[in-house]
Amino acid sequence: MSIACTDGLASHIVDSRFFGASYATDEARRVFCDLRRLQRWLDVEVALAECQAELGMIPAAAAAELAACARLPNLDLAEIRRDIARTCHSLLPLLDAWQRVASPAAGRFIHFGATTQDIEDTAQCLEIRDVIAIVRRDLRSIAAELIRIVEQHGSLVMIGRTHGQHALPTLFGLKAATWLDELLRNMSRLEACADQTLVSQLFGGVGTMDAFGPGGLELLRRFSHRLGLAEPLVGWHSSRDRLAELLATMAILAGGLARIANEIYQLARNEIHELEEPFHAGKIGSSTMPHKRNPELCEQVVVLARLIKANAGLGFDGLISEHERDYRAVRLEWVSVTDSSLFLCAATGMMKTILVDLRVRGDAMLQNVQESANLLSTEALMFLIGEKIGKQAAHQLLYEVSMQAHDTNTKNSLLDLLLADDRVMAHFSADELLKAIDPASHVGLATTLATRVVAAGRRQLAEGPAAPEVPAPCPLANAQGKCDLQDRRLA
Amino acid sequence: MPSHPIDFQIQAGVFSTPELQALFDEQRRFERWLEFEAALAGAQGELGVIPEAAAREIQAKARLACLDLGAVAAGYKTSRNSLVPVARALRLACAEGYGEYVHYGVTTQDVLDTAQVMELREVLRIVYRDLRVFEKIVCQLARRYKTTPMVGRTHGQQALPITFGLKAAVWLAEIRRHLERLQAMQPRVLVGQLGGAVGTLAALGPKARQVAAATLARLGLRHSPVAWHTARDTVVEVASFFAMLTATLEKIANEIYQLGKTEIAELRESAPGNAMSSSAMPHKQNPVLCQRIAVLARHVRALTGLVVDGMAHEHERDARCLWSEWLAMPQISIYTGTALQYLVRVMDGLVVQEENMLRNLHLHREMVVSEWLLFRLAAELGKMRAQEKLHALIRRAEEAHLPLREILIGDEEIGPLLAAADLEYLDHPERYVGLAAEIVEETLQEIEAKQQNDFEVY
Repeated sequence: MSIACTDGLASHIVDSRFFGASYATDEARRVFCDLRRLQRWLDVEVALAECQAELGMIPAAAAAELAACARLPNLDLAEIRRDIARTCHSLLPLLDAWQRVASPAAGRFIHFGATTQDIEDTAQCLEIRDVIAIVRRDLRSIAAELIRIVEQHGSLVMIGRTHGQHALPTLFGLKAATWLDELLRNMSRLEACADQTLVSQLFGGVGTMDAFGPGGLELLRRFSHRLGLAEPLVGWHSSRDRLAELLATMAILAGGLARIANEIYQLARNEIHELEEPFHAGKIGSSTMPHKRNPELCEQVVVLARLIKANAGLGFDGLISEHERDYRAVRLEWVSVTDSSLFLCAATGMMKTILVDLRVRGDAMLQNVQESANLLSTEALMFLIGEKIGKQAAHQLLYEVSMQAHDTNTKNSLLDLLLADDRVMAHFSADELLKAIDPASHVGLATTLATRVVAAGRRQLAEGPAAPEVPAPCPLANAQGKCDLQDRRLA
Repeated sequence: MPSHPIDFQIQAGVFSTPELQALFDEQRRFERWLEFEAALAGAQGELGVIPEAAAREIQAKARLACLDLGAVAAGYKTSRNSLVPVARALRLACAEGYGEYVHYGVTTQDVLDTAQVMELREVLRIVYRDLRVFEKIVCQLARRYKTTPMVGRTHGQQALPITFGLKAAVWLAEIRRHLERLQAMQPRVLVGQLGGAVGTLAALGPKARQVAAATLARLGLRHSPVAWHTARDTVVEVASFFAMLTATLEKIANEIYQLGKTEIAELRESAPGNAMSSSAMPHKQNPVLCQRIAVLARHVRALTGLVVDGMAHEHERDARCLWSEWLAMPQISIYTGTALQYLVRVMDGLVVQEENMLRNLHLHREMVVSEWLLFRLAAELGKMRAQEKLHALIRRAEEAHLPLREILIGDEEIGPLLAAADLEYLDHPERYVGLAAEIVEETLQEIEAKQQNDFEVY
């Protein structure tokens, strides 16, 4: 690929030819390509005209002609750009350019009875449909990867941590199962959100459908069906809850992925070193410290989740729309939905990469759990000793002994102190105590719990589409899959 | 029946301090409103706007003890104005019809805004006092551990040696900047409000401007020539400052939390002798205060966003924006003051485990001086070549589980370049701390010089 100056036109980080891959995927960027956006608007207008022709609202010949010439390569893009700047209108310059390539007889039926926001909102929903397809596919891959991780590494004993401190033993499988469990809920959330969000908009200037005449509702039904979108009961020009839900859902999804990424980051600390994100020769941690291996992918997933979270707030701001239309909400979405979508697709892509080659270091897990084996088995000891002396008395006894052991700070001090304690040894043998503090025998139902989640994951994956739909290729692409318009000078 | 955790009486003082709770007590707030009404009447009496006898009577009765609080409470059930029931009770408390001169020519927001500034002045005093105490404690830490080696971390990974004093010095410089911010905002922020209904002073008569200045002077506040009913930047400045300050506190608290993880164990929040951290696990010693600080800081940040939203005021007054402050500012203030006191306590009893710092530093002792090796070898091989070479050797050492020293000495190209003295840093990474001690010393000197010029009372 040749890198040429774009005169400042690749200034957003997602469009950077050098750093863009950390913030977006090419696949997702194609969904939001500005040329494709204009083509989508034309496609929506064509769908409208064709449905109107079916219902006899406009001549069939006009609709056929409009469909035939509604191709962005036919239009004068430079002129459209100049006119958008001059008129401050987002859609009319495109429609004017379209009208100029159509016959007067057909051109007069362009955008017949619709309002700008009908077209742009509907097209935005088509964009969102593509984004959801990408995210759905990636989440399914991540779920499959997590299932593999639970099955492959699930029986590794490790320390569970609360307040950043060693708490009690657990299995790595259970930890990964909670990731999977949350992901499964997020997959359901995504579907629920898709059901709510993927609707058309076609209600005219103030939502009365006045300009469509009595056939308006039938038109809406056909228009929605033709575009593969659900049919809303009533216009939603100033009712932006669907977009707020989408942005919030993306924030929850990204938060779930970032939790996994952060866990890997934390457990990759040198002093812990139980997990490590994939490393390949040539990856450089530091320009000045050749030894560094940094969890940069995991960090980036957290960065993206924070950006997506910030955008979710804008979704709530957009809810407060005024009167019958309020562009202050819509124009927020143009940025926030685009950014969140790009960031989320980048995050899901990275998470796949991280999980496919995640390094799981069972030896370090075992070493860390053994480190505080006797201290951390206090809960087990409390219940064991509690059987003889009562749970509260056992808690008090173990608290005293633990604090004493903590102060002496030697590895076996708790056990030694207990073995020398008459209150305990009156009831138990040394063997019983030793068995009581083996971490592997204190992971409770961890295996069963993890297995349950894996089973649920398999069920959910089986219920979903077998070959997940991916976004359709760009209609502007030529036979070689390249966009001829990309190189056409706009100015 | 306290229902907000700030006011809990049994599980008290988790999200508040008694001092701040008292400051925002409902009746204390009424008293500040009455202080304003008394100052106004005093100024108006002095300037002949109202009879002097009326001014004396209003000043005498502008105390909560003189008011029928039952009637005030009943008044709030029917009045939707925030001030009227209190002003009315003051009017009724005044003898001989002097009550007619209460709240003469001003608007409710004049009283409430000015009282809020008086309140914030108290909060800023408390924060200033505690922040200076905090700075002194951190100064002591920086001095005491000036040369204590530990590993510095980037990306959560061990990077190069530093000293604990250097880490503390970075905190210190940030704390000092907060003190400077606090000092600098004072003249901007401590300005009263007196503009009348739409800021024209129309109802205050020909001496309106003198009345306004004299009233606020009596309260020890500056007077702005133009009303700021809809210009909330000063309140937002205080909130934003608190958001920044608590974020700094959270940063430091998080550092203690992270460095207190079992495997790291370099710092520890000390617990009172009989504190129990876990109901289920008797061995646990949790960094509870550090976590509370994080919670408080996050709330302050979230609430600050609301106050910033409030800057988008409409027309000459906009209650939707203003009332947001009334809910947010007390919480922001209380949470900030509480978080600060918590961290003062944590720092005062901070357990610094120097031997664990050294142990962790030696965990990958050869690796952490890779920077030094890089520059040592760059002189011979060029930096790019040295970098490539070291990358390969370090990976080989890791994969073969061999000491880096062996790999280096055994390497045909590098081995002959390294003298015994060169390998010293490999055994003693704690010596590779650059200018850490000097930086700490310089920072301390600069801050102590500035402390000489701090004013004592805010």
